Amino acid sequence: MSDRQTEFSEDLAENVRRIRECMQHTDDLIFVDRELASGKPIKIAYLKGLTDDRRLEYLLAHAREFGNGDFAFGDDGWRKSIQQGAESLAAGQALLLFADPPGAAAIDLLGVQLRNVEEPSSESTVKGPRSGFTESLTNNLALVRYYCPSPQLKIESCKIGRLSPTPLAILSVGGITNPSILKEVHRRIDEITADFIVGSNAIEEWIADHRGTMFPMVESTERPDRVVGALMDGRIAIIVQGTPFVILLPFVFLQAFQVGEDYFWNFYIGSLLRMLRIFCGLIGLLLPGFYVATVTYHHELVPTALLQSIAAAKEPVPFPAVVESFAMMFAFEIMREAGIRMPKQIGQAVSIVGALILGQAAVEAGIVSPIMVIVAALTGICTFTLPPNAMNYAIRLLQFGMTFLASLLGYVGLVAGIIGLLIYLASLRSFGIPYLGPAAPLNAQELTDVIVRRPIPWDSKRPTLFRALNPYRFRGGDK
Amino acid sequence: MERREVISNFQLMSLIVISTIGTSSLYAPATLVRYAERNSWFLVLVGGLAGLLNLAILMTLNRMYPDKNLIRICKHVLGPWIGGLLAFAIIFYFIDVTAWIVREFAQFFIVALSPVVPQSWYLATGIIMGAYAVYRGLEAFSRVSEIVLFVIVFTFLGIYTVLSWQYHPEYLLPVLENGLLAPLSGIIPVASWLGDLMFISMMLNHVRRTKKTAAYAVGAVAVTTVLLMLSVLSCTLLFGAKASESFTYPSISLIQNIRLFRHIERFDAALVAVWVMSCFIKLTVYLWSAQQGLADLLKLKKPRMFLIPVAAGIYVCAKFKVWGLIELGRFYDQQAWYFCLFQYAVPGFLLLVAWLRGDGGKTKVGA
Amino acid sequence: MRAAGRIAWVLAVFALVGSGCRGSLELNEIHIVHSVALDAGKNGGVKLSAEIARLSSGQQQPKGMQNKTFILTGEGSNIFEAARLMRAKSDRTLLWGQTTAIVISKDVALQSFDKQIETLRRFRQFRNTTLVYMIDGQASRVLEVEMPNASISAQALRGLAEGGEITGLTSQTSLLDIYMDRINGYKEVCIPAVRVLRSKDGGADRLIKAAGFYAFRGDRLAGFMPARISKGYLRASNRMRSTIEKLACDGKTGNTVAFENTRSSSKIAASIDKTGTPVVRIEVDTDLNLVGQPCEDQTVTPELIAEWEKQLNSDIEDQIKSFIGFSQQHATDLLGIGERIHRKQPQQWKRIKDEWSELYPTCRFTVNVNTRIDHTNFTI
Repeated sequence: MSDRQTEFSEDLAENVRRIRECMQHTDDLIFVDRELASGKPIKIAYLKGLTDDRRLEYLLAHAREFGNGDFAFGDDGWRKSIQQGAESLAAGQALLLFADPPGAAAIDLLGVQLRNVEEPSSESTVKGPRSGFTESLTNNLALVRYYCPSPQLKIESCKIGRLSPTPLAILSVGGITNPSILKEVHRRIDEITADFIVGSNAIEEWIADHRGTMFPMVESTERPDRVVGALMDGRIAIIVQGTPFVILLPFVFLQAFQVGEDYFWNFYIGSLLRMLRIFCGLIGLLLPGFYVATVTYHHELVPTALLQSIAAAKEPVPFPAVVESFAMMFAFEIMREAGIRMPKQIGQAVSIVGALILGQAAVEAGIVSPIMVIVAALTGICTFTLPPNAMNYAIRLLQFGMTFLASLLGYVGLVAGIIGLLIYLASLRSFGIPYLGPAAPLNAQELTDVIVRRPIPWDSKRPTLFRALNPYRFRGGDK
Repeated sequence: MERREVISNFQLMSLIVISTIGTSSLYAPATLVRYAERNSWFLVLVGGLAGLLNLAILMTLNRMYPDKNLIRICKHVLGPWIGGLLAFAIIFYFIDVTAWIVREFAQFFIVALSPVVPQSWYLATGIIMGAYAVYRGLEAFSRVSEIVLFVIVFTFLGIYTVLSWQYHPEYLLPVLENGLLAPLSGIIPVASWLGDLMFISMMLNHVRRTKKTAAYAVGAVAVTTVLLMLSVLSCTLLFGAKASESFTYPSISLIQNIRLFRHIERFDAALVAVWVMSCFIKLTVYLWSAQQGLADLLKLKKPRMFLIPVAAGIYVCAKFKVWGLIELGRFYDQQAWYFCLFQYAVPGFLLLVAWLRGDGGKTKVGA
Repeated sequence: MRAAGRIAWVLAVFALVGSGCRGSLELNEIHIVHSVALDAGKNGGVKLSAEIARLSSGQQQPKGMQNKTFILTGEGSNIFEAARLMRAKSDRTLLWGQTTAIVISKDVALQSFDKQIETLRRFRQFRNTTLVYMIDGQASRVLEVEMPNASISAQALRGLAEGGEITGLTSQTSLLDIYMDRINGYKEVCIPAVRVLRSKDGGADRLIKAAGFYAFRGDRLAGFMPARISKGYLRASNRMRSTIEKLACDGKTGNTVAFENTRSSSKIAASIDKTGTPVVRIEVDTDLNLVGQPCEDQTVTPELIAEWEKQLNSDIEDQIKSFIGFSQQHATDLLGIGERIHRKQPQQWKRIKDEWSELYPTCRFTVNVNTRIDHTNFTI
């Protein structure tokens, strides 16, 4: 039915009808009649509310000054088919319908009320820039260019989504980024067949090497300074319209413990905090399992005085240690999830309720032992020290698995779990880069850089992990 | 596999080190001391030379046929029938060694920890870990072995250093009182432990060869010898020669003696972790060698499918192999020639035949 | 195919869980044993007593090692059987792995000591670092003592051992030391002795006291070393740090000058001379400090100090000689002289190895003591 309907005809009214049809007779589609200076009638179509009022007024007022295809401002483009025209309208552009030659020209008038640039709430810093990305693609690109005024910064745009084409941009730095990785990224993005894209997570899942793994294959951030830092290391950024989270790839396991803040303090602080984070990650993963294994299987391995205290504390508790452990960890997760959804006014109550009921009362009622409360709380707090990316959640999920294994076989089960996890991680690759990064296969120099941050004046080499073209930061270049 | 699996020099080194001393460090002193008493360090040194000999044979074979592993060399050098037979024997040896390792693994916990957990669970855990690792591929467990190497070297060195103020150096005297040859009566068990590195005959064709590969391999044998010697010395200096012999796993007793700051003791958990990790790597490399050998010999398209039956077979084998630790220890001690046969004699024989055939340009045996 | 693999995994996990977690032992299901006493039982068997801490619960603060204790006993033909039979009297499994000290009654050691040691070893649950003591009489009395500030006797016994270097009356001897001595054969076994002091008002026993050593010859009990001989032994084997030495003032009885050892080291050199007799030379160097008031009419002068040093030299020499006399009388080579000869002269040792226990009482010992008194004139 739409064969002939896809082209612009020479009859303006017919075009209007076709466009209305294509856009499902939506109510916010407005057509306005104007005349050009040459006397030819044109129609201007726009979606009310989506366009910026002032510019629209200007356009409508000065419409007669426009000749065929000459426009003074805006994103110009000739639309050949009804579908393209409709897509432009939906993207916030105004269409000028011409009868002769038949077709339409699009002017970008997008003026949606969006957020101002403000501090990203998920990654706040004490000493560092406080701008974060917003939901507008053009704004975000502008921010990146602001932080990185380099002519080598390359932006490649495309649209993803059949039903609702969402624009996205791929950023790389010419001369540093490895072209084969860039090509691979393009290839994967082209393979995406989706109706629409909600947030950057959809893109993350599409382009991951290994589907169905709980470990993040790419990283996302809200901060322009991190994006620029990553670009300068030879990585690639993907910005999607509609979400302030920018995807950085490739990503290796040990980067989950790095935050931008490390670079805003001197290298002692940065390094020690980073090592603390790695240690906390380990504790968060293993502590409940270690406690369960020790208390259930390996009583000889605890100092006697401590064992007496733990035994006394556990006397009235009827449940085995593993059940206690699962109960407490579960309760912690419930509290955490509830805390996210709570409106701010009741947020205080949650923490008081949590502390009172779960901590004090449960111990006094003899449902859990105080040691278990300490273990669960310590574990939870340790996972809070990690930056909020998906690794955080992966560790929280794996806690349960490790505790279960520990309850079956003691330390042997725990070590078997660690080994199984290591094997699994070692077999993953993120865009061809081994997931366990500089740890295995071993690259001692880079490993120190991942765990300990080098002082900036001495940091003259790019990490070879991302196979950047230029291995030197400021001594190489064009030499 | 879609792409050829490649491992680096350092990964090869860590695989060698872990497979040779990861487990033997724990019980070796007892056996060695029985043969050489106070002079077991000397026995270890000579054993290191035996290990180097084994390495030399395997590296030369690999240099002659850079892209073939041991099974393919067998078939190429001896023809399809005799070679096939020998290859079957070698694969059987790999599977057998895997079963020994799984049994050893479970036996340690029965002795060192609580004897109440049923042995079959430990056996099952060991074999499942190994099968999973082989399933994920050579590269995955080689990378993990690098991490494991650091853990076990650090742990061992830590133990020996922390105990250093408790050593009695006079326990080593008189040195070599019965002459140089008397300690060497125990050379066969030592050679069999160090000869456990012969699995690399299946892996050398996957190594990214550089000029330094040989250096890394020799370094691995050197590290192994040093660590084994430290283990033996530690036990001798702390317990005295004869007492070391009476311990089943002398390293457990070593670690029980560590006391820091008066109250911090009982570090046995570290030993458990080390043991699990090293046994796992050792058993994985042999299982992988067996699987690789089967795939090459029978020209299997999907070698992974054989993994489950082989693993189940190993489980059964391990469970019923020997009745207990005494038999296991005795076999390792007195029938160690069985291991040496496959570790030294078979590759040596292949090398001889290959040399007689005139294959490969270089015939110089060098490390 | 993939689905089949996944179903297999899930079934395996369920099978594992469903078969129950055997081997796990919750803390509510065990009693923690802190110390063990070994007495002679009927018909040549043994009687085992275990001291277990009573756990106080339901209060805010756990008491750690300050809990009260109770004793369980079991009797059997050997230690292992006795321990098993004890389980019949206990509502929970006994955890032996945390035992800090074992007290053995002398009667048990009068029979073959090796048998008991071997059984202790095969019991396997005792750690190698468990301390060992011996008492003349009922060993279980030691467990029943209620020391002030240490309601668990194991703590008291451990603390006592650590004071050995200062009192000169005991030392830390663990199961491992005993194994090593028996198996290596470098020197004879020597176990510290304890004594229980009765309370004056007839109430419960109140204190455990370290009281010297029991020396063994091979696997038989050789004799008891009281205080002075023990001091000589510890000094000769270089295990003494700071004890007290006393000198009598001239003439007046009851008045003594006291000195504190600040350092003591001894070297032993053993060899076989041309006639085939073993010759041993013990050199002792000590530093002492004046800690008491000098006798009346005495001012501290270098001549007085030299005089004191001479007296102390002979006093310490006597101590060591009395120990040597004891060891030769009972033919126990406690200092490891035989092994020292072995290390220095292996060829000669091979010839006399088999008769060493007869040869030892004929050794010729020379003791040379050098004391140095220092820090005498410092007062604040």
